Amino acid sequence: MKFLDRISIYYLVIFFLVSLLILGTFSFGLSAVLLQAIPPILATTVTDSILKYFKLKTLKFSLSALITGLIIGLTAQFGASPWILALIGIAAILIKAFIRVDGRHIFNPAASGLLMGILVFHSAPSWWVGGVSWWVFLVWIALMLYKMKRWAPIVGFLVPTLLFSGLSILTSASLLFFLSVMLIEPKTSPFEVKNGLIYGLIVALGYMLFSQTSFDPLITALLLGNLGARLLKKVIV
Amino acid sequence: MSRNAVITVVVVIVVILGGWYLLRPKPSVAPTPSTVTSTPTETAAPTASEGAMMKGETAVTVTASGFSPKDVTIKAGDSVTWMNNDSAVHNVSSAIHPTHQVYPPLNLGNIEAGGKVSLKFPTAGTYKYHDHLSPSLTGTVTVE
Repeated sequence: MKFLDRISIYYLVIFFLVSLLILGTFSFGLSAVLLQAIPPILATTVTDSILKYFKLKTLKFSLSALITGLIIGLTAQFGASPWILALIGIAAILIKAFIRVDGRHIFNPAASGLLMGILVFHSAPSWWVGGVSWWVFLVWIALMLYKMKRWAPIVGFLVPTLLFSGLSILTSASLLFFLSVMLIEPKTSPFEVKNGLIYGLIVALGYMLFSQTSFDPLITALLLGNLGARLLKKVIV
Repeated sequence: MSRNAVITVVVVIVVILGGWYLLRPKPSVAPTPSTVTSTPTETAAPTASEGAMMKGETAVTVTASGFSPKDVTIKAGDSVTWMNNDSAVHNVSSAIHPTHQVYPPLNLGNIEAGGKVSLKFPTAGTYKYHDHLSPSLTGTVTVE
């Protein structure tokens, strides 16, 4: 466990996301997975570096931009045009850079880029990472909970969702990816237990609501929850 | 350059070089027959050479433009066979995308190009499904 204590959460997440890409090659082949991953990774890292250069006058790369690109690669519509995948990546970084409150971005960058993909390019996320065996995520969730201690949003989300959908939803690898990578993203989710529970509950209610529509329920619910989390910080804390 | 920058640059370079290596033009190779996907319910699906479906079995083809026919109506106890007539992988999964929790037996997974999967529907009802990889491609099985 000493290794886990020492390693940065960014490196751990990158290792996991790259592992998922590698697992994806067994189902879809290496070239298809690379075509899916390269455009958003390039788009997010280059766009982020350009924006930082204008702001700081120095070339700076961020691991969070790399993570955003990897998440988009794993969830965007499988087989979509590389240009659309790249534009989704650019949109994610632009929204992160320009929609901010108190100097911090509000929305999960990957989710906001994917929503732009739905609205502008009619490219619905595949969540093709959901093709990976769900037990992989159980190991990862255990690691994440040990490392980040952010159990409150997961509990807040799962309690109403299990009542609504039943236990079988826990075998959805797409949902487990969402819970363990996107829902608990440190910059856009609350750390406090009470706010974390309320945030998880908002996302769960959004999920149930948007399940009845043609919008991607996880993406839209997460963005709703991000907004709610920021309001909670203003009202409660 | 910071440590983060070095790691990011290395990852991007590896991905670019890997992509170039894999996607570089190759001499054309004659296509090999695709493996027929096994059926989750062990329902015997006719082979492509048989041409027609057996009694109590309805065929649905899937291509890049969607499922055809998009909506089918069958009797309780009959089965539906989805055939991938596209060159790309497709998928058959129960609503709701992406969690597929409405009717888990309908989560049939990926169908390779040229492959097929079948499912028997024992109970009357309306079963919505979609292609998990292209979620805008949807269909419905109505069981009477």
